[in-house]
Amino acid sequence: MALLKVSNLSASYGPIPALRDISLEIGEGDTLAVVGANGAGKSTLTLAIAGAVRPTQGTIEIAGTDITGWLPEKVAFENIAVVPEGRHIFDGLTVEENLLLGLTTRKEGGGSAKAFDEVYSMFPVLQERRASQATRLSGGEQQQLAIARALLSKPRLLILDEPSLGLAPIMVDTVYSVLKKLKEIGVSMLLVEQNPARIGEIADHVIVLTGGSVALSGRPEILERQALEDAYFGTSKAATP
Amino acid sequence: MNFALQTAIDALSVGSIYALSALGIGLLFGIMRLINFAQSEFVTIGIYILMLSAGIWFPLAALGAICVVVVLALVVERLAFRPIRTADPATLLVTSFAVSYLLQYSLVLIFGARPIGLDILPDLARPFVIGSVRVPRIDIATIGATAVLLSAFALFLRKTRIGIEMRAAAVDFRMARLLGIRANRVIAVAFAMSGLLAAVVAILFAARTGVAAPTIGLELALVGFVATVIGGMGSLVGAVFGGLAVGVVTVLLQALLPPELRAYREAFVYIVVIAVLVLRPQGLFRGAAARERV
Ligand SMILES: Nc1ncnc2c1ncn2[C@@H]1O[C@H](COP(=O)(O)OP(=O)(O)O)[C@@H](O)[C@H]1O
Ligand SMILES: [Mg+2]
Repeated sequence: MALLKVSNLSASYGPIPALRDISLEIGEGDTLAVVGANGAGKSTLTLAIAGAVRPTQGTIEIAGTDITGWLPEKVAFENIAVVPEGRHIFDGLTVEENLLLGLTTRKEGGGSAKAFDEVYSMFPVLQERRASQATRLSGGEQQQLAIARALLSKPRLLILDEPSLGLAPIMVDTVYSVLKKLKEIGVSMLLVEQNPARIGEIADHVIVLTGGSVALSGRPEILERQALEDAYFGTSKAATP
Repeated sequence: MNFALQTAIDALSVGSIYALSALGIGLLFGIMRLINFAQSEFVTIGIYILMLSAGIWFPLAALGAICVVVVLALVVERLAFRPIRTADPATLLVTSFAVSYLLQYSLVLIFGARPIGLDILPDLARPFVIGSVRVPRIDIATIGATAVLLSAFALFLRKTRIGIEMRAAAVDFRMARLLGIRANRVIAVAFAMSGLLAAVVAILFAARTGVAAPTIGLELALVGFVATVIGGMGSLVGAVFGGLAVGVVTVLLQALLPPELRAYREAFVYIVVIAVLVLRPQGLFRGAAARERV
Protein backbone atom coordinates (compact mmCIF):
# COMPACT_ATOMS: atom_id res chain seq x y z
CA MET A 1 0.00 0.00 0.00
CA ALA A 2 1.29 3.45 -0.87
CA LEU A 3 2.13 5.79 1.97
CA LEU A 4 0.45 8.69 0.17
CA LYS A 5 -2.14 8.23 -2.52
CA VAL A 6 -3.69 11.26 -4.20
CA SER A 7 -6.52 10.49 -6.63
CA ASN A 8 -8.12 12.92 -9.09
CA LEU A 9 -7.46 15.89 -6.85
CA SER A 10 -8.73 19.32 -7.88
CA ALA A 11 -8.63 22.57 -5.93
CA SER A 12 -9.38 26.19 -6.65
CA TYR A 13 -9.09 29.63 -5.12
CA GLY A 14 -12.59 31.02 -5.51
CA PRO A 15 -13.53 30.52 -9.14
CA ILE A 16 -9.93 30.10 -10.31
CA PRO A 17 -8.81 26.48 -10.56
CA ALA A 18 -5.31 25.81 -9.23
CA LEU A 19 -5.17 22.00 -9.40
CA ARG A 20 -6.93 19.81 -11.94
CA ASP A 21 -7.33 16.10 -11.59
CA ILE A 22 -3.98 15.29 -9.99
CA SER A 23 -3.16 11.69 -9.19
CA LEU A 24 0.09 10.54 -7.62
CA GLU A 25 1.53 8.02 -5.19
CA ILE A 26 4.49 7.93 -2.86
CA GLY A 27 5.71 4.57 -1.60
CA GLU A 28 7.15 3.98 1.86
CA GLY A 29 10.69 5.44 1.92
CA ASP A 30 10.37 6.97 -1.54
CA THR A 31 10.95 10.53 -2.64
CA LEU A 32 8.68 12.15 -5.20
CA ALA A 33 9.85 15.39 -6.76
CA VAL A 34 7.30 17.86 -8.09
CA VAL A 35 8.63 20.42 -10.53
CA GLY A 36 6.96 23.13 -12.55
CA ALA A 37 7.04 26.81 -13.38
CA ASN A 38 5.94 29.56 -11.04
CA GLY A 39 2.18 29.40 -10.59
CA ALA A 40 1.91 25.79 -11.77
CA GLY A 41 0.17 24.75 -8.56
CA LYS A 42 3.04 23.09 -6.68
CA SER A 43 2.47 24.91 -3.41
CA THR A 44 -1.26 24.43 -3.67
CA LEU A 45 -0.67 20.69 -4.02
CA THR A 46 1.43 20.60 -0.84
CA LEU A 47 -1.14 22.66 1.05
CA ALA A 48 -4.02 20.51 -0.15
CA ILE A 49 -2.26 17.36 1.05
CA ALA A 50 -1.57 19.03 4.40
CA GLY A 51 -5.21 20.08 4.80
CA ALA A 52 -4.63 23.83 4.48
CA VAL A 53 -6.39 24.08 1.10
CA ARG A 54 -9.76 22.34 0.66
CA PRO A 55 -9.96 20.14 -2.43
CA THR A 56 -13.01 20.55 -4.62
CA GLN A 57 -12.74 17.01 -5.89
CA GLY A 58 -10.69 13.86 -5.41
CA THR A 59 -9.26 12.04 -2.42
CA ILE A 60 -6.07 11.99 -0.37
CA GLU A 61 -5.12 8.84 1.52
CA ILE A 62 -2.33 8.23 4.00
CA ALA A 63 -1.49 4.55 4.40
CA GLY A 64 -5.05 3.70 3.44
CA THR A 65 -6.74 6.30 5.67
CA ASP A 66 -8.82 8.83 3.77
CA ILE A 67 -7.77 12.25 5.04
CA THR A 68 -9.61 14.34 2.44
CA GLY A 69 -11.09 17.47 4.00
CA TRP A 70 -9.35 17.02 7.36
CA LEU A 71 -8.21 20.11 9.24
CA PRO A 72 -4.47 20.78 8.97
CA GLU A 73 -3.89 20.13 12.67
CA LYS A 74 -5.53 16.73 12.32
CA VAL A 75 -3.51 15.85 9.23
CA ALA A 76 -0.37 16.81 11.18
CA PHE A 77 -1.23 14.13 13.73
CA GLU A 78 -1.01 11.58 10.92
CA ASN A 79 2.70 12.51 11.07
CA ILE A 80 2.86 14.54 7.92
CA ALA A 81 5.29 17.41 8.35
CA VAL A 82 5.54 20.44 6.09
CA VAL A 83 8.45 22.75 5.35
CA PRO A 84 6.45 25.39 3.51
CA GLU A 85 7.62 27.74 0.83
CA GLY A 86 9.12 30.78 2.52
CA ARG A 87 9.99 28.71 5.62
CA HIS A 88 7.40 30.35 7.91
CA ILE A 89 9.62 30.61 10.94
CA PHE A 90 7.72 32.20 13.84
CA ASP A 91 8.79 35.79 14.30
CA GLY A 92 9.22 36.79 17.93
CA LEU A 93 9.97 33.22 19.03
CA THR A 94 13.44 31.91 19.73
CA VAL A 95 15.03 29.09 17.75
CA GLU A 96 14.33 26.74 20.63
CA GLU A 97 10.68 27.80 20.90
CA ASN A 98 10.24 27.26 17.17
CA LEU A 99 11.69 23.77 17.53
CA LEU A 100 9.55 23.00 20.57
CA LEU A 101 6.42 23.50 18.48
CA GLY A 102 7.74 20.87 16.09
CA LEU A 103 7.25 18.32 18.87
CA THR A 104 3.48 18.87 18.98
CA THR A 105 2.59 15.69 17.12
CA ARG A 106 5.55 13.51 18.09
CA LYS A 107 4.40 10.11 19.24
CA GLU A 108 7.72 8.35 19.78
CA GLY A 109 8.86 8.47 23.38
CA GLY A 110 12.34 9.20 24.66
CA GLY A 111 11.46 12.71 25.74
CA SER A 112 12.08 16.04 24.13
CA ALA A 113 15.74 16.10 25.21
CA LYS A 114 16.53 13.14 22.98
CA ALA A 115 14.57 14.64 20.10
CA PHE A 116 16.45 17.92 20.44
CA ASP A 117 19.80 16.08 20.58
CA GLU A 118 18.99 14.38 17.30
CA VAL A 119 18.25 17.56 15.40
CA TYR A 120 21.07 19.50 17.04
CA SER A 121 23.56 16.87 15.91
CA MET A 122 22.19 17.22 12.39
CA PHE A 123 22.11 21.04 12.52
CA PRO A 124 24.84 22.21 14.92
CA VAL A 125 24.24 25.85 14.05
CA LEU A 126 20.78 25.65 15.59
CA GLN A 127 22.21 24.49 18.90
CA GLU A 128 24.67 27.38 18.90
CA ARG A 129 21.88 29.85 18.25
CA ARG A 130 19.07 28.20 20.17
CA ALA A 131 18.39 31.25 22.35
CA SER A 132 18.41 33.73 19.45
CA GLN A 133 15.33 35.25 17.90
CA ALA A 134 14.64 32.86 15.04
CA THR A 135 14.15 35.57 12.44
CA ARG A 136 17.67 36.88 13.18
CA LEU A 137 19.09 33.76 11.53
CA SER A 138 20.35 33.90 7.95
CA GLY A 139 18.13 32.52 5.20
CA GLY A 140 20.04 29.27 5.09
CA GLU A 141 19.91 28.87 8.85
CA GLN A 142 16.19 29.57 8.82
CA GLN A 143 15.73 26.88 6.20
CA GLN A 144 17.63 24.45 8.43
CA LEU A 145 15.40 25.51 11.32
CA ALA A 146 12.26 24.90 9.25
CA ILE A 147 13.50 21.42 8.31
CA ALA A 148 14.58 20.65 11.88
CA ARG A 149 11.19 21.79 13.22
CA ALA A 150 9.47 19.45 10.76
CA LEU A 151 11.77 16.54 11.66
CA LEU A 152 11.08 16.82 15.38
CA SER A 153 7.67 15.29 14.80
CA LYS A 154 9.34 12.14 13.38
CA PRO A 155 7.30 12.45 10.20
CA ARG A 156 6.19 9.52 8.07
CA LEU A 157 6.03 11.94 5.17
CA LEU A 158 8.07 15.11 4.89
CA ILE A 159 6.74 17.71 2.44
CA LEU A 160 9.29 20.33 1.38
CA ASP A 161 8.22 23.27 -0.78
CA GLU A 162 11.18 24.82 -2.61
CA PRO A 163 13.70 24.33 0.18
CA SER A 164 16.53 25.78 -1.93
CA LEU A 165 14.65 28.92 -2.98
CA GLY A 166 16.71 32.04 -2.40
CA LEU A 167 19.65 30.23 -0.81
CA ALA A 168 23.32 30.68 -1.68
CA PRO A 169 24.74 27.66 -3.54
CA ILE A 170 26.70 26.51 -0.51
CA MET A 171 23.51 26.52 1.56
CA VAL A 172 21.72 24.56 -1.14
CA ASP A 173 24.49 21.97 -0.75
CA THR A 174 23.89 21.85 2.99
CA VAL A 175 20.15 21.41 2.53
CA TYR A 176 20.56 18.68 -0.06
CA SER A 177 23.10 16.78 2.01
CA VAL A 178 20.53 16.76 4.82
CA LEU A 179 17.82 15.56 2.45
CA LYS A 180 20.10 12.75 1.25
CA LYS A 181 20.73 11.72 4.84
CA LEU A 182 16.99 11.66 5.48
CA LYS A 183 16.47 9.52 2.42
CA GLU A 184 19.12 7.10 3.66
CA ILE A 185 17.32 6.66 6.96
CA GLY A 186 14.10 5.97 5.09
CA VAL A 187 12.09 9.18 5.43
CA SER A 188 9.47 9.47 2.67
CA MET A 189 9.48 12.85 0.99
CA LEU A 190 7.51 15.01 -1.37
CA LEU A 191 10.02 17.54 -2.66
CA VAL A 192 8.85 20.57 -4.63
CA GLU A 193 11.39 22.49 -6.65
CA GLN A 194 11.01 25.05 -9.38
CA ASN A 195 14.59 24.44 -10.48
CA PRO A 196 14.95 20.73 -11.26
CA ALA A 197 18.77 20.88 -11.32
CA ARG A 198 19.32 18.85 -8.16
CA ILE A 199 16.31 16.66 -7.79
CA GLY A 200 18.03 13.80 -9.63
CA GLU A 201 20.20 13.38 -6.54
CA ILE A 202 17.37 12.14 -4.37
CA ALA A 203 14.12 11.70 -6.31
CA ASP A 204 12.85 8.22 -7.17
CA HIS A 205 10.06 9.65 -9.23
CA VAL A 206 9.24 13.03 -10.75
CA ILE A 207 6.08 14.76 -11.85
CA VAL A 208 5.92 18.00 -13.78
CA LEU A 209 2.99 20.30 -13.16
CA THR A 210 1.74 22.76 -15.75
CA GLY A 211 -1.28 24.93 -15.18
CA GLY A 212 -2.40 22.76 -12.30
CA SER A 213 -2.24 19.44 -14.16
CA VAL A 214 0.34 16.70 -14.34
CA ALA A 215 2.07 17.30 -17.68
CA LEU A 216 4.71 14.62 -17.35
CA SER A 217 5.60 11.94 -14.90
CA GLY A 218 8.26 9.27 -14.65
CA ARG A 219 11.67 8.37 -13.30
CA PRO A 220 14.01 11.35 -13.03
CA GLU A 221 16.34 10.18 -15.80
CA ILE A 222 13.58 9.87 -18.41
CA LEU A 223 12.81 13.54 -18.03
CA GLU A 224 15.42 14.76 -20.46
CA ARG A 225 15.90 18.34 -21.23
CA GLN A 226 13.52 18.81 -24.11
CA ALA A 227 10.61 17.09 -22.45
CA LEU A 228 11.05 19.24 -19.37
CA GLU A 229 11.21 22.42 -21.37
CA ASP A 230 8.11 21.47 -23.28
CA ALA A 231 6.30 20.73 -20.08
CA TYR A 232 7.40 24.02 -18.54
CA PHE A 233 6.17 26.04 -21.46
CA GLY A 234 3.05 23.98 -21.90
CA THR A 235 4.13 22.86 -25.38
CA SER A 236 4.29 19.20 -24.47
CA LYS A 237 2.21 16.98 -26.68
CA ALA A 238 3.46 13.79 -25.14
CA ALA A 239 1.11 12.55 -22.51
CA THR A 240 2.41 11.01 -19.30
CA PRO A 241 4.57 7.99 -20.08
CA MET B 1 5.17 69.54 41.83
CA ASN B 2 2.37 67.86 43.77
CA PHE B 3 0.03 68.60 40.93
CA ALA B 4 2.52 67.02 38.54
CA LEU B 5 2.85 63.90 40.69
CA GLN B 6 -0.88 63.52 41.12
CA THR B 7 -1.41 63.96 37.41
CA ALA B 8 1.28 61.40 36.65
CA ILE B 9 -0.33 58.81 38.93
CA ASP B 10 -3.73 59.57 37.51
CA ALA B 11 -2.38 59.19 33.98
CA LEU B 12 -0.71 55.89 34.79
CA SER B 13 -3.88 54.59 36.39
CA VAL B 14 -6.16 55.51 33.50
CA GLY B 15 -3.49 54.24 31.11
CA SER B 16 -3.47 50.92 33.00
CA ILE B 17 -7.17 50.35 32.47
CA TYR B 18 -6.81 51.26 28.82
CA ALA B 19 -3.80 48.95 28.48
CA LEU B 20 -5.78 45.99 29.85
CA SER B 21 -8.68 46.82 27.53
CA ALA B 22 -6.32 47.04 24.57
CA LEU B 23 -4.61 43.76 25.44
CA GLY B 24 -7.94 41.93 25.42
CA ILE B 25 -8.70 43.27 21.97
CA GLY B 26 -5.14 42.90 20.66
CA LEU B 27 -4.97 39.27 21.72
CA LEU B 28 -7.98 38.22 19.66
CA PHE B 29 -6.93 40.39 16.77
CA GLY B 30 -3.46 38.89 16.77
CA ILE B 31 -4.71 35.34 16.71
CA MET B 32 -7.79 35.48 14.54
CA ARG B 33 -7.91 38.95 12.96
CA LEU B 34 -11.07 39.61 14.91
CA ILE B 35 -11.80 43.09 16.23
CA ASN B 36 -14.10 42.07 19.02
CA PHE B 37 -16.45 44.91 19.85
CA ALA B 38 -18.28 42.59 22.22
CA GLN B 39 -15.28 43.08 24.52
CA SER B 40 -17.16 46.18 25.75
CA GLU B 41 -20.13 44.04 26.84
CA PHE B 42 -17.77 41.59 28.54
CA VAL B 43 -16.69 44.54 30.70
CA THR B 44 -20.24 45.84 31.14
CA ILE B 45 -21.61 42.47 32.19
CA GLY B 46 -18.75 42.14 34.66
CA ILE B 47 -19.83 45.43 36.20
CA TYR B 48 -23.48 44.29 36.45
CA ILE B 49 -22.38 41.08 38.14
CA LEU B 50 -20.53 43.17 40.72
CA MET B 51 -23.61 45.32 41.13
CA LEU B 52 -25.71 42.19 41.75
CA SER B 53 -23.17 40.85 44.23
CA ALA B 54 -23.51 43.87 46.50
CA GLY B 55 -23.08 42.75 50.08
CA ILE B 56 -21.08 39.67 49.21
CA TRP B 57 -17.50 39.53 50.49
CA PHE B 58 -15.51 41.41 47.82
CA PRO B 59 -12.98 38.72 46.81
CA LEU B 60 -15.84 36.31 46.25
CA ALA B 61 -17.82 38.85 44.22
CA ALA B 62 -14.73 39.59 42.14
CA LEU B 63 -14.12 35.89 41.55
CA GLY B 64 -17.76 35.47 40.58
CA ALA B 65 -17.53 38.31 38.06
CA ILE B 66 -14.35 36.82 36.59
CA CYS B 67 -15.93 33.36 36.24
CA VAL B 68 -19.12 34.69 34.63
CA VAL B 69 -17.25 36.84 32.12
CA VAL B 70 -14.75 34.10 31.21
CA VAL B 71 -17.59 31.63 30.63
CA LEU B 72 -19.48 34.25 28.63
CA ALA B 73 -16.41 34.83 26.44
CA LEU B 74 -16.08 31.09 25.84
CA VAL B 75 -19.77 30.77 24.98
CA VAL B 76 -19.58 33.71 22.56
CA GLU B 77 -16.56 32.12 20.89
CA ARG B 78 -18.30 28.78 20.57
CA LEU B 79 -21.67 30.03 19.34
CA ALA B 80 -20.86 33.17 17.37
CA PHE B 81 -17.29 33.03 16.14
CA ARG B 82 -16.34 29.39 15.74
CA PRO B 83 -18.91 28.75 12.99
CA ILE B 84 -17.49 31.63 10.92
CA ARG B 85 -13.85 31.09 11.80
CA THR B 86 -12.61 31.14 8.22
CA ALA B 87 -14.73 34.09 7.12
CA ASP B 88 -13.05 37.33 6.10
CA PRO B 89 -12.28 39.98 8.74
CA ALA B 90 -15.25 42.13 7.66
CA THR B 91 -17.68 39.30 8.44
CA LEU B 92 -16.00 38.74 11.80
CA LEU B 93 -16.28 42.45 12.55
CA VAL B 94 -19.98 42.61 11.68
CA THR B 95 -20.61 39.53 13.80
CA SER B 96 -18.84 41.12 16.73
CA PHE B 97 -21.10 44.18 16.36
CA ALA B 98 -24.12 41.90 16.35
CA VAL B 99 -22.98 40.09 19.49
CA SER B 100 -22.20 43.42 21.11
CA TYR B 101 -25.67 44.84 20.40
CA LEU B 102 -27.39 41.62 21.42
CA LEU B 103 -25.68 41.62 24.80
CA GLN B 104 -26.14 45.36 25.28
CA TYR B 105 -29.89 45.26 24.58
CA SER B 106 -30.29 42.19 26.75
CA LEU B 107 -28.87 44.29 29.57
CA VAL B 108 -31.30 47.10 28.75
CA LEU B 109 -34.18 44.61 28.83
CA ILE B 110 -33.13 43.16 32.16
CA PHE B 111 -31.84 46.22 34.03
CA GLY B 112 -33.21 49.17 32.07
CA ALA B 113 -31.17 51.81 30.30
CA ARG B 114 -30.64 54.04 33.32
CA PRO B 115 -27.31 53.94 35.15
CA ILE B 116 -27.44 52.15 38.51
CA GLY B 117 -25.12 53.13 41.31
CA LEU B 118 -22.94 50.53 42.94
CA ASP B 119 -20.51 50.73 45.74
CA ILE B 120 -17.70 48.23 45.74
CA LEU B 121 -14.80 48.75 48.08
CA PRO B 122 -15.80 52.23 49.29
CA ASP B 123 -12.49 52.35 51.14
CA LEU B 124 -10.73 52.63 47.80
CA ALA B 125 -12.24 56.05 47.25
CA ARG B 126 -10.32 57.48 50.19
CA PRO B 127 -6.91 58.84 49.28
CA PHE B 128 -3.52 58.05 50.70
CA VAL B 129 -2.14 61.24 52.06
CA ILE B 130 1.63 61.50 51.92
CA GLY B 131 2.70 64.93 53.05
CA SER B 132 0.72 67.27 50.87
CA VAL B 133 0.17 64.71 48.11
CA ARG B 134 -3.20 63.00 48.00
CA VAL B 135 -3.22 59.80 45.98
CA PRO B 136 -6.52 57.95 45.53
CA ARG B 137 -6.14 54.35 46.68
CA ILE B 138 -8.03 53.21 43.59
CA ASP B 139 -5.16 54.55 41.47
CA ILE B 140 -2.61 52.56 43.43
CA ALA B 141 -4.82 49.46 43.28
CA THR B 142 -5.32 49.88 39.54
CA ILE B 143 -1.62 50.33 38.77
CA GLY B 144 -0.70 47.43 41.07
CA ALA B 145 -3.34 45.06 39.68
CA THR B 146 -2.31 45.91 36.14
CA ALA B 147 1.37 45.34 36.85
CA VAL B 148 0.61 41.94 38.43
CA LEU B 149 -1.73 40.87 35.64
CA LEU B 150 0.61 41.96 32.84
CA SER B 151 3.56 40.17 34.48
CA ALA B 152 1.48 37.02 34.86
CA PHE B 153 0.46 37.24 31.21
CA ALA B 154 4.05 37.74 30.09
CA LEU B 155 5.14 34.69 32.10
CA PHE B 156 2.26 32.63 30.75
CA LEU B 157 3.08 33.54 27.16
CA ARG B 158 6.81 32.87 27.55
CA LYS B 159 6.98 29.88 29.84
CA THR B 160 4.01 27.65 29.15
CA ARG B 161 3.55 25.43 26.15
CA ILE B 162 0.10 26.84 25.35
CA GLY B 163 1.49 30.36 25.75
CA ILE B 164 4.19 29.65 23.17
CA GLU B 165 1.55 28.11 20.90
CA MET B 166 -0.51 31.28 21.22
CA ARG B 167 2.42 33.51 20.30
CA ALA B 168 3.13 31.29 17.31
CA ALA B 169 -0.54 31.32 16.28
CA ALA B 170 -0.60 35.11 16.55
CA VAL B 171 2.21 35.53 14.03
CA ASP B 172 1.41 32.67 11.65
CA PHE B 173 -1.78 30.80 12.37
CA ARG B 174 -1.63 28.52 9.37
CA MET B 175 1.92 27.39 10.10
CA ALA B 176 0.95 26.70 13.70
CA ARG B 177 -1.89 24.48 12.51
CA LEU B 178 0.39 22.68 10.07
CA LEU B 179 2.49 21.73 13.10
CA GLY B 180 -0.57 20.22 14.76
CA ILE B 181 -1.44 23.08 17.09
CA ARG B 182 -5.18 22.93 17.63
CA ALA B 183 -6.86 26.07 16.39
CA ASN B 184 -9.92 25.54 18.58
CA ARG B 185 -7.90 25.26 21.75
CA VAL B 186 -5.69 28.27 21.07
CA ILE B 187 -8.70 30.43 20.20
CA ALA B 188 -10.70 29.25 23.21
CA VAL B 189 -7.80 30.09 25.51
CA ALA B 190 -7.44 33.51 23.86
CA PHE B 191 -11.14 34.20 24.47
CA ALA B 192 -10.86 33.04 28.07
CA MET B 193 -7.91 35.39 28.56
CA SER B 194 -9.77 38.30 26.98
CA GLY B 195 -12.67 37.50 29.32
CA LEU B 196 -10.33 37.55 32.30
CA LEU B 197 -8.93 40.91 31.20
CA ALA B 198 -12.44 42.30 30.69
CA ALA B 199 -13.48 41.15 34.18
CA VAL B 200 -10.48 42.81 35.80
CA VAL B 201 -11.18 46.00 33.86
CA ALA B 202 -14.79 45.74 35.06
CA ILE B 203 -13.69 45.49 38.69
CA LEU B 204 -11.27 48.41 38.43
CA PHE B 205 -13.65 50.55 36.43
CA ALA B 206 -16.62 49.83 38.70
CA ALA B 207 -14.58 50.73 41.76
CA ARG B 208 -13.54 53.96 40.05
CA THR B 209 -16.84 55.14 38.60
CA GLY B 210 -19.39 53.48 40.89
CA VAL B 211 -22.03 53.00 38.19
CA ALA B 212 -23.37 50.21 36.03
CA ALA B 213 -24.93 51.18 32.70
CA PRO B 214 -25.55 49.17 29.51
CA THR B 215 -23.12 51.25 27.46
CA ILE B 216 -20.44 51.81 30.07
CA GLY B 217 -17.94 49.43 28.44
CA LEU B 218 -18.26 51.04 25.03
CA GLU B 219 -15.70 53.77 25.53
CA LEU B 220 -13.21 51.27 26.92
CA ALA B 221 -13.53 48.98 23.92
CA LEU B 222 -13.18 51.91 21.56
CA VAL B 223 -10.08 53.12 23.36
CA GLY B 224 -8.78 49.56 23.39
CA PHE B 225 -9.27 49.35 19.66
CA VAL B 226 -7.57 52.70 19.05
CA ALA B 227 -4.71 51.61 21.30
CA THR B 228 -4.14 48.38 19.37
CA VAL B 229 -4.11 50.37 16.14
CA ILE B 230 -1.54 52.89 17.32
CA GLY B 231 0.45 50.16 19.05
CA GLY B 232 0.63 48.24 15.77
CA MET B 233 -2.07 45.67 15.17
CA GLY B 234 -0.89 42.19 16.03
CA SER B 235 1.69 43.28 18.59
CA LEU B 236 0.65 42.55 22.18
CA VAL B 237 3.38 44.73 23.65
CA GLY B 238 2.26 47.42 21.23
CA ALA B 239 -1.34 47.10 22.45
CA VAL B 240 -0.27 47.53 26.08
CA PHE B 241 1.86 50.58 25.36
CA GLY B 242 -0.78 51.95 23.00
CA GLY B 243 -3.32 51.73 25.85
CA LEU B 244 -0.95 53.39 28.30
CA ALA B 245 -0.21 56.12 25.78
CA VAL B 246 -3.88 56.90 25.12
CA GLY B 247 -4.55 57.04 28.86
CA VAL B 248 -1.62 59.32 29.53
CA VAL B 249 -2.48 61.64 26.65
CA THR B 250 -6.11 61.81 27.78
CA VAL B 251 -5.22 62.73 31.35
CA LEU B 252 -2.53 65.20 30.30
CA LEU B 253 -4.94 66.96 27.97
CA GLN B 254 -7.49 67.11 30.77
CA ALA B 255 -4.87 68.69 33.03
CA LEU B 256 -3.23 71.01 30.55
CA LEU B 257 -5.97 72.14 28.20
CA PRO B 258 -7.59 75.47 29.07
CA PRO B 259 -10.96 74.80 30.73
CA GLU B 260 -13.00 76.00 27.76
CA LEU B 261 -11.37 73.35 25.56
CA ARG B 262 -11.62 70.42 27.98
CA ALA B 263 -14.96 69.38 26.61
CA TYR B 264 -13.19 68.62 23.36
CA ARG B 265 -10.55 66.46 25.04
CA GLU B 266 -11.52 63.34 23.08
CA ALA B 267 -11.19 65.23 19.81
CA PHE B 268 -7.63 66.14 20.76
CA VAL B 269 -6.88 62.52 21.69
CA TYR B 270 -8.03 61.42 18.26
CA ILE B 271 -5.95 64.14 16.60
CA VAL B 272 -2.92 62.61 18.31
CA VAL B 273 -4.05 59.17 17.12
CA ILE B 274 -4.42 60.39 13.53
CA ALA B 275 -1.00 62.02 13.73
CA VAL B 276 0.53 58.73 14.88
CA LEU B 277 -1.14 56.85 12.05
CA VAL B 278 -0.04 59.37 9.44
CA LEU B 279 3.54 59.33 10.65
CA ARG B 280 3.74 55.61 11.40
CA PRO B 281 0.94 53.75 9.60
CA GLN B 282 2.27 50.41 10.82
CA GLY B 283 1.79 51.56 14.41
CA LEU B 284 4.35 52.46 17.02
CA PHE B 285 5.36 48.83 17.35
CA ARG B 286 5.77 46.71 14.28
CA GLY B 287 3.03 44.09 14.26
CA ALA B 288 2.43 40.91 12.34
CA ALA B 289 -0.74 42.17 10.68
CA ALA B 290 1.00 43.37 7.56
CA ARG B 291 2.38 39.96 6.79
CA GLU B 292 0.59 37.42 4.71
CA ARG B 293 -1.65 35.04 6.54
CA VAL B 294 -4.53 32.68 5.87
N1 LIG C 1 -4.00 32.31 -1.70
C1 LIG C 1 -4.28 32.34 -3.03
N2 LIG C 1 -5.37 32.99 -3.47
C2 LIG C 1 -5.66 33.02 -4.78
N3 LIG C 1 -4.94 32.44 -5.73
C3 LIG C 1 -3.83 31.79 -5.35
C4 LIG C 1 -3.44 31.71 -3.98
N4 LIG C 1 -2.30 31.00 -3.91
C5 LIG C 1 -1.99 30.65 -5.16
N5 LIG C 1 -2.89 31.12 -6.03
C6 LIG C 1 -2.90 30.91 -7.50
O1 LIG C 1 -2.96 29.52 -7.73
C7 LIG C 1 -2.08 29.14 -8.77
C8 LIG C 1 -1.06 28.14 -8.26
O2 LIG C 1 -0.22 28.77 -7.30
P1 LIG C 1 0.87 27.99 -6.47
O3 LIG C 1 0.30 26.72 -6.00
O4 LIG C 1 1.42 28.92 -5.47
O5 LIG C 1 1.95 27.70 -7.61
P2 LIG C 1 3.49 27.36 -7.47
O6 LIG C 1 3.78 26.96 -6.08
O7 LIG C 1 3.70 26.25 -8.46
O8 LIG C 1 4.23 28.58 -7.87
C9 LIG C 1 -1.43 30.43 -9.26
O9 LIG C 1 -2.16 30.87 -10.38
C10 LIG C 1 -1.61 31.38 -8.12
O10 LIG C 1 -1.71 32.71 -8.58
MG1 LIG D 1 5.09 27.71 -4.76
